[in-house]
Amino acid sequence: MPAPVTYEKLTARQVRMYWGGFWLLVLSESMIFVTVFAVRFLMAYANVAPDVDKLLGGLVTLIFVLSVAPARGAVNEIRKGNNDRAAGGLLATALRGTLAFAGVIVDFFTEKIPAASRFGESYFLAAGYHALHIVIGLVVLYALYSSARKGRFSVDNHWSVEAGVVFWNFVVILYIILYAIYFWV
Amino acid sequence: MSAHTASRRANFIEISWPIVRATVFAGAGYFAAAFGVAAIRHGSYMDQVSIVFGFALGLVGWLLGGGALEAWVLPWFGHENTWNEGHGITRFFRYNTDHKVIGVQYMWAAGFAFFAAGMIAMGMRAELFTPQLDFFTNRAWYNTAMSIHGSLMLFSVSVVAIVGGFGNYFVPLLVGADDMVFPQVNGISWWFVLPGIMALLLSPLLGGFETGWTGYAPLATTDEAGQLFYYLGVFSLGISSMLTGVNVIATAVYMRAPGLTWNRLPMFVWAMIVTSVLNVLWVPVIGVDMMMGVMDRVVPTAFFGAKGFPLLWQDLFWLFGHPEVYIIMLTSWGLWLEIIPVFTRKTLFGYRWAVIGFVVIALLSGTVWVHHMFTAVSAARLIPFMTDTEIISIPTGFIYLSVLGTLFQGRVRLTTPMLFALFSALNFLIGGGTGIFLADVPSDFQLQDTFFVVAHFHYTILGGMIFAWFAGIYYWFPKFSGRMYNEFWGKFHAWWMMVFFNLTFFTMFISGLNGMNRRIATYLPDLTRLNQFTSINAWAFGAGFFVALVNLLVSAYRGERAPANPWGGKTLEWATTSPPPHENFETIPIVRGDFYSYGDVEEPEMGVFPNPSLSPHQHTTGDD
Repeated sequence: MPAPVTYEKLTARQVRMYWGGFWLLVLSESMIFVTVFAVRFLMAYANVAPDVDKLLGGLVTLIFVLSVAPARGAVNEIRKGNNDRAAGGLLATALRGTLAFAGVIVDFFTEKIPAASRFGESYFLAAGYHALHIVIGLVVLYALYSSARKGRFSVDNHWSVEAGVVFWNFVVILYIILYAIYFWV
Repeated sequence: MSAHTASRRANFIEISWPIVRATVFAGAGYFAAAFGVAAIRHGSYMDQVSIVFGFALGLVGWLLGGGALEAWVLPWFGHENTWNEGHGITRFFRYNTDHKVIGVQYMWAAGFAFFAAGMIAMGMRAELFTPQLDFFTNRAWYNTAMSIHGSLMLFSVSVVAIVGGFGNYFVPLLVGADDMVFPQVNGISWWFVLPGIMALLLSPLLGGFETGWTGYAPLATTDEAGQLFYYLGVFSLGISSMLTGVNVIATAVYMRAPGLTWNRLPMFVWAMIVTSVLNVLWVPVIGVDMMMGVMDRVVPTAFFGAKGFPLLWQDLFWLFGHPEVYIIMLTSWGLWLEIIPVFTRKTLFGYRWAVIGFVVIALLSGTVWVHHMFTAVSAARLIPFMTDTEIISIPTGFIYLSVLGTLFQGRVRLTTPMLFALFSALNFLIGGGTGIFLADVPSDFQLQDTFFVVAHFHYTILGGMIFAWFAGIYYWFPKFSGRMYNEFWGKFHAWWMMVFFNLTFFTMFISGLNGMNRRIATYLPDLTRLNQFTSINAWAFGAGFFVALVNLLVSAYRGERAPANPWGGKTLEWATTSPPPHENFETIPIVRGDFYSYGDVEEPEMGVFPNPSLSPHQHTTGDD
């Protein structure tokens, strides 16, 4: 088997500007959720429908939180140029993410809140938008896993792993906020 | 890959196959999802749920077919990027990562939408030629035509042509960079534009939509399924704006050439930064609004319906919609201030004040949106928003101050771009001045929903932005085509546009004051004369664009070769060849002075102007 071809070395300047652009994207994505959460309080005040599935939501939140640790591990490994171990961490994150996503889908189909109610519509708006972000995050994680398994990252170029993991953390944090304000507040 | 084969002439199949493949993939994705969802739900492939899933998968198919498959998805999973970015003219019709190519792609897409929406406007004027319904078969089709005209012009021309077109092409050149920060993202962002345009244009297939470009609920909730294509199309165009915004800000912040400090930054780059901040912040808001509209139709939720809160739609819409006016205009002002010093040979007056004006306008733009809704909101919201709206004319005044101060005692060369820039400033002055009557609550109550409003925003957007767009096209035509346009026909076009624009739209102020309602196919017979005058001038105005089209197309192939710096401009795009090479500059330029200081240097001879703000020293690498 030929030696793996790693991505070209990134300069410090490139890394800096990639981060700058990336955080702008996160800012822009945050505006979506600022709007969505504002709509929730505008439409339904702080009311929570009595039949929200707190247990399922809590489970999903827990799985999300548990997915952060292997992601962190993957970043630590890739900083040392260790593709194989990073791939393991990324796969563990992606699998937990997939499980959480499955939980969200189950929630969609079993939730008893009527979609046309004041609380229900804002819940489905937020959860739907968040689900879209889970899908994007999962595609990114599986893509990174696939590249890491082929040994593409190196000490000099692993920015996309770091950014992918930060994006995943963003998705997780959003779900925690979502769980707090749609299931409890 | 592209440079080696540049001399070979491309045939039609080579040019069109990526777009054809994208269309096939989009169609396959659309029908696969629509039929799949219909089968699962035991519904029809034409019902609204199927349409939404069809559009989503169709969009994915379109992106993959356009080149994202080879250039994005396979490389993500560790494969080689095998995408051929094309050569010569083929580059403009496929996924490409060169910001200059993407700029041209944005411009042809915006030009196509402008043509389509313009032809629809001609049809609307045909309908309004007589008081009764005769050109359209019924009122709903007139309303649909009006809605498509407005949506295309606002969402796919005025926020795309300058921001996407010139922004992509010239921001890296003006800051002395070799490309954008994320060329790949930039390449894909253009591919969100055509689905948006096509969704709006094809909405009549689903029965059209009658709400106008603002999509007001509750009318929207009872409208035909064409309303869905409005939501989805605008959403798609929004993604493009957002990604471009991120790229432009990052490029301007991180990729400036050595010596290009913030207080030397070209005006157009300032305008693009401020515009992009507005895009990054407010486009997501309207995206949420559009998704809520979609959910009301497919889930169904009850956000805006009879049991819902229609005002929320308006609030979220205008929370983006008013900053959008500045997304449109800021870049036009940037163009004025870019062009006017070059053709007056005078130092730009009040550079800092103009920049402060840009920033303050951007800050205030998010605080004025309710002036679009005065007749719908509670009295408590009238006075604050009236005041905010009128305050925003102060920073706008800074920009006029800068224009007038630069013109004062200047040696003005009335070339085509200069004419267009001055006409744009004059038209926008009328647009802004009449805006005061609409910002003022008592007069707005009288004027709302009349052609006075129509005339007002056409003066700002058509008279301001489209004129500025043409100023930019003529100003930079030598740069991006490498050839000179015909000056006589350029000036002819400028005067033709100015005269017929004003005859068309000034009359609308009068008909509006006389009670001519907007968004309606029929009117009272005593308004016939005014409307016929408007229609005839509108057709003449529309015909004028063909003069420009022929002039620019013929010049692009037959025009005389353009020198690197035909106007004697000092900004960095003139320091490279026309058209610029793939990497923009042979060596990264070092900026040693101000771009807008004239008077302290000798009057340039055309085309051989040495640029004192530049030094030929090679800067070693882009890395520090």
